[in-house]
Amino acid sequence: MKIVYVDDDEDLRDIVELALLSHGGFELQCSTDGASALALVEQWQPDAVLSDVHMAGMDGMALLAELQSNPATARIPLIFLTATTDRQKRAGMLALGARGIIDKPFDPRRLGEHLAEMVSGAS
Amino acid sequence: MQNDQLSGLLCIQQSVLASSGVLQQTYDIIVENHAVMPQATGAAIELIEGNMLRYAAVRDSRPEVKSMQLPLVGSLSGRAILTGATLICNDSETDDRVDLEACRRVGLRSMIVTPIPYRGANIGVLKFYSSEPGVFGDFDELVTQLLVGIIAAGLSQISETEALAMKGKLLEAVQLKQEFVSMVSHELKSPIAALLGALPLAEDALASGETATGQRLLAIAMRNAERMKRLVDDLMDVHAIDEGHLSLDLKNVELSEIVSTVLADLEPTARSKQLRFAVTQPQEPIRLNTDPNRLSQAIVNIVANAIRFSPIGGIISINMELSANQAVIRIDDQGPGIPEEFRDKLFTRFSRVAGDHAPGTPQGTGLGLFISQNILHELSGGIQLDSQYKSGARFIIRLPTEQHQAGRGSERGG
Repeated sequence: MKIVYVDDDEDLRDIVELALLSHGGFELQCSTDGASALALVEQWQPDAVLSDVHMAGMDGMALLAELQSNPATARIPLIFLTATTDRQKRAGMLALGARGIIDKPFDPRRLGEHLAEMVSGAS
Repeated sequence: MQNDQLSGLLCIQQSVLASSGVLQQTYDIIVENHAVMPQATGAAIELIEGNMLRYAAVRDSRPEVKSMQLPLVGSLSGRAILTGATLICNDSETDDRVDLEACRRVGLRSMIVTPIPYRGANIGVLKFYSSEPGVFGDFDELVTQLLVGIIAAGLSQISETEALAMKGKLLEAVQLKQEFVSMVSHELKSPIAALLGALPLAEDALASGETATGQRLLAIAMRNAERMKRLVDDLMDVHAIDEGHLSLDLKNVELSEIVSTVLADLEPTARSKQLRFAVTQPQEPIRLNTDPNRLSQAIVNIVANAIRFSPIGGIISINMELSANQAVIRIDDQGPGIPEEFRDKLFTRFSRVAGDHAPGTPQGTGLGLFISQNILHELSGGIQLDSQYKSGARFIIRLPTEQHQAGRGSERGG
């Protein structure tokens, strides 16, 4: 399963990478912000995008909107990995078309399983 | 004449209603209306300021009248304020309640003064005067009281506006506090997520003999525990700043020594990006009477930012000089500079520009510049961004030198 992970936190990128690799069955590429993720997603055509919300420059919500407006990326599901507990914001993410939300902090041993379920689950 | 006066009164009422509600406009409308008191050669609104009465509005072409001040005690206006009654003086030459000298100076023979009530006290008077004796009567007393009613209404409207503004400010403060708490929790969650992510993976890696991966993950955990510590330290400082008791321990120190220590501390981080510090300083040492730890903290934040935003292999210039009794420290980097739209927010809490999460450098807490600015302010100095500088970001710190500070201290004492 090909995943693009977008987060401006270098350490979290490392952790997600190690968590998914140790789970097995994932291929991962990372971006540090929404703008560079757009090009990567369009070119690499992953099975899903996992993204932080709170990022300087183009944030997760803007990235989601951009991906959806481009026919080449519109069908690729996006899952947010976020520390946001604000109910309204979370509802907004789903209403905008996010496939799901995984909370930060997350259990790295279960991240792969959780992600695979979300990607293959609801369509 | 009475009909004309009532017309004038109506005209004033309409003008005040149509005005924007600014009190000064109301004052001006009243004193400028001639019809309401046609026999008067001038009109004024005098308000208490300390133990004097100052003209808030006046209709009189003579400059000496416009700038006039009256004593509260010994003038008819003062007496009206103290007694709360409308007072008429028919001839200033024979009336011992008036300030005769002041009346002669402006050629005033008769007047009518009515106190302006506000919240149970009188805050000033409305005064009409004439160069002729005996021109004001009972009907004029009624007119002035009606006019004062218009002013009082304006005043109570202002206090309502003030109350609304106060409420708005309070709501804003509560909202800021809530935003702050939400931002702090968010900022803490990132290192916590890294810790809780890295530690179980480190455990697994070490258990399966992948020592290198385990160590890499432990380093991540360590880095993020430190990041949490930095954030908590910064939050304590922000709290101290908010409470107004940032502790200072003043000592006589040499600026270049402080800068050297700061740069030595940051050297490993700078080296990881192959950055070089270029330091210039005058031959004569710059001595300051300051808190060396707080000043170091303020400078560390600026240099750490410079490191964070510098391109690999860049130069960070630190220039110290004496200028007009001030120690000036200029810190330049070769990074992208501060985007114009961000400059207003630069010194506010949790303000961040894109690219703050540069690899290899410790992450900022978003509080650094806010803290630095407040520390420097406490140290009687300041910091600013040089917006003219185009080759990166340039921050300029200014601090009073030892001599300058000593001078100010004795001024304060005397």
